[in-house]
Order: sequence, then structure tokens, then C-alpha cells
Amino acid sequence: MQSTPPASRASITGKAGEPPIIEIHDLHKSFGMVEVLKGVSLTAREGEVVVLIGSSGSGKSTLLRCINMLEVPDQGTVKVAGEEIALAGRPPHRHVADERQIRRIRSGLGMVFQSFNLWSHMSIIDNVMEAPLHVQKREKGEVRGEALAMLDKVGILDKADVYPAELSGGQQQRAAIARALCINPKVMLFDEPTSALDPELEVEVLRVIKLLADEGRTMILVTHDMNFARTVADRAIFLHLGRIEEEGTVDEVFGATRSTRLKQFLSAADHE
Amino acid sequence: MEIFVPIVTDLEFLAKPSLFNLYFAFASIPAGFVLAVFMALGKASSNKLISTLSRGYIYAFRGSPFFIQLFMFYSMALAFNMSLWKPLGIDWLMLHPLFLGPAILVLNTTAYTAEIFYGALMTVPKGEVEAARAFGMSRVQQFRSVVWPHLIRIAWPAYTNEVVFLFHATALVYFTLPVIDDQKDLMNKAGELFERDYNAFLHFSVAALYFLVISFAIFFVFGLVYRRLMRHLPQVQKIRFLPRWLG
Repeated sequence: MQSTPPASRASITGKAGEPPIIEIHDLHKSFGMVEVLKGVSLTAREGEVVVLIGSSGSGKSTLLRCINMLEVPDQGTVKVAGEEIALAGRPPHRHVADERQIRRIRSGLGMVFQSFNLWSHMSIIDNVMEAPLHVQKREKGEVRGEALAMLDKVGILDKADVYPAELSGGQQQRAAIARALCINPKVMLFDEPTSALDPELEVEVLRVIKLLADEGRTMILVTHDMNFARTVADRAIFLHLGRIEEEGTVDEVFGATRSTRLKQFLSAADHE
Repeated sequence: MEIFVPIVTDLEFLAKPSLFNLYFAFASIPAGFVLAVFMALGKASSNKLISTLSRGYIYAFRGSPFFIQLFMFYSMALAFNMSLWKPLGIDWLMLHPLFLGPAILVLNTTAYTAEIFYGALMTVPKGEVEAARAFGMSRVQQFRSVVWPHLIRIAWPAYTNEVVFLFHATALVYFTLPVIDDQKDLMNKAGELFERDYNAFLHFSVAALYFLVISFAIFFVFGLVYRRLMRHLPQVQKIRFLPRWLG
């Protein structure tokens, strides 16, 4: 089954000519009796920045976590760079069918979490080098050089040898971004990267993400920050109760909002 | 200085026997440690059968006195002598207290240590394990890189306790198992000295002194290890193993 969206929708992205790198088709996911995703499809193309917005419980984080199978969907398919992730079994015991395949795919997806999730017993440089060395099996000298370059890029090169507990939240999140960058990911996945941060620390993280967007990296970003979504994204997707309520370019979604739900959501976000 | 003479004499008498207590403890600690890791993972397993068996084992050995376990396993070892050990030609090993003692201690300490490790396993930060998963680590890599370093750090103070208890439990071994030649431990030897002059206070106090000193050494070494395990958490108040007046 072909999972690219209809031509009319693809053409509004502005990156329509690029090959699709994430293709999600008809995703369903329930937690117990609660159906969190009710048939969601989306495509992200190379170089595109897609933001997922919506109120709490709309399913946006779950959708993001289905891309690297941290959550296994009950139904539907996920393709990364044209390769469909093999699943087996019936819900609620549906699971990844091929461990090797998912590990290979995951090592091409850089994930940044809301709560940073740095490995607290490793120094920052070891955090950044861990996956390139032990998952991707790359050569140590090369990885170290790249890790230092990434730390420099996110502005915490001087913190390479300290432990995460000694850093501020903003620094920890930037370290987490460097960790995700160091695997040379095809796509960066951000799960509410600034929600756990104070406003003044938020800025430094947002600046780094903006930098990555300007570099032309493919990114999928779940965020509560509408202003940031507007400045960073090519395309916005508004989820409501497990369905895509509205999607389009940033100008369309924020400038010429069609659905009343999104209008309500945006005006509520403005008053925050 | 006269009063120190019997103490020094007892210290000399009990020096060699203390080696047997040390032997029982240190012959069983490594095996118990390794088996406990698997037993804890077994208890946490999503496989129902493995989990139930592990829980059952841990419950049985934590739920009954070690003293009784010694009697049970010794009598079982004796019961199988004619049918198994002798035909197999291993009766010299299976009935030897220097084998049977550590073996039963291992069975016991595995259960206690497994429970400690299981508790620690449950408090390993979920987010960090999830990050390991998201970066494509296999189950084994997740365990080695993320789960184990947390687990052992969290478990270490309680494990230190278990090691000291185990060492003290070695005092019970020869209440059940036979002493071969002069392979007496601290309790045997103190008992023997007691029977000579009925000075229970002197002989058992000196035996206790050996336990105190060796326990102190265990606390000290394990404290050093703990300091190393905690090196990434500079702000956290460290657990003291030494009394305050010893720095």
C-alpha cells in the first residue's frame, strides 16, 4: 500500500521534490481502553522540518515515539527512508518483528527527550560517544573528534568532561542534542525538548534547534511553543484527539487557520 | 599487663580458625553475586515461568532460617551418598564441609542478594534505559551500558550489609557440618577453649573481636568501592561506612 499523502497535500510542503524519509500510514494506538491515535498518516521529506502541535493527550508524543518504535502501534505502518519497519503479533502484544532491523533504523534516528535522559553515570563526552562507538561501531579517534565538534556546535565544549548532574537543564538538553547529532541521523526527533526548562534556559536550546533547522536537517518536533513552531518549521500538523485536524505550511496553519479547534487552540496558546 | 596475656594467647589460638570463616565467606561471595544477578533478572523477566521460579526460589531461601537450610542440605547430601556420590566417585567432594559449607551459603546468599538487586533494578531510571533503546542498543548493550551501572550503585549499600551478614553466618556452618582434622573455625575453637576453663566471656569475646575486625575491613573496602560508584554524583550526601571518629 502506498503511504504518501495525496498530491495536493504534498505540494504544499515546498519540499515536494525531495524523497520522503519518514512515511507513516494509518497509525492506530491504544493504551488500555484509551485510543490515543486513530489513524494518522504523514510524510516527512528530506530537509523538511515538521512540527507536531496539539493539546496534551492529542497523541503527538505517541506519534513521534511510534517512529522509532519506542511505542509499537496497534495498526498501520512506519517507513524510514523507504524501509518499512517489520511488526508482528496482534495488539496488545504487537511487537517489532526483527530486532536487528529496528536497531539499525534507530541508530539512524536521533532522539531528544523532554527529560533529557542523559546517561547520568557517564561524562558528557562519553554520553555523546556511546552510541557511535558501541552501536555504530565507528572508530574511536574519529568519533571523539566529531563528538567534540558537536559539543562545540551546541556551545558546551568546555563541559565535555563533567557529569550531567553538574549541568543546568539547558546545558543538559544541548548535550542531549549533541548526543543525537553524533550518530549522523537521517532524521532528528524532538519530543517536547524545552518543556522541562525554565524560560531563560529554553532560549539557548531553541537557538540550537533553529541552527539545525537552518542547516537543512530533517526534523520532526513535538512542541508546545507556538512562536517557536512558527519560526522553525516548514510544515505544521495539528493533532486533535488522535487525528490530524489540520496540516499545511506554517503560513497556512498559523496564518490562515481553517478548523475551529485549531483556532481555539492557538488563541489559548497566545494567552499563556 | 598480666591481664592481656590470656587475650593475646586466645588471639593466637584463634588466628588460624578465623581463616576458615574467611574461606567460607569468600568462597561463596563471588558465586552468590553472579547467580544473584541472573536470579534478579529472572524475577524481573516478562516470562511467567522464569519469573515464578525465581520468585519461588528467593522466597524459599529468604523465608526459612539459614540454620535449617544447613541441616536440610547436609542431610540431603548424606542421603544421596550411596545412590549418587559414591557411584560417581565424588563423595569425597560432596560431603566435604569445605565444599558443602560454601555451596549452601551460596544458595542462601543468592536469594538475599537477588532480592537486593531486584529492588535496585526496579529503580533504574526508566528514561535512561529508553534513551539507550532509542539509540539502537541491544538488550545486552542496554544492560551493560546503562542498567548495570545504576543497579550496582543503588544496590551497593544493601549488598555491603548482605556480605557482612554472610560473613557472620559462617559461624553457623560447623554447628551442622563435621569438622575434618583440625579445620576448626572461630566458633569451634572458641567452644573448645571454653570447655577447658569455662571462661565463656574471654574466649567468645576474642572470637567476636575477630568478627569485628574483619567486618570493619569489609565495610572499609566496600566503602571505597561505593565512593567510586558514586563519583558522578558530586552533590549527593555519601553514605558513611566508617564511624565519625575514624574520619
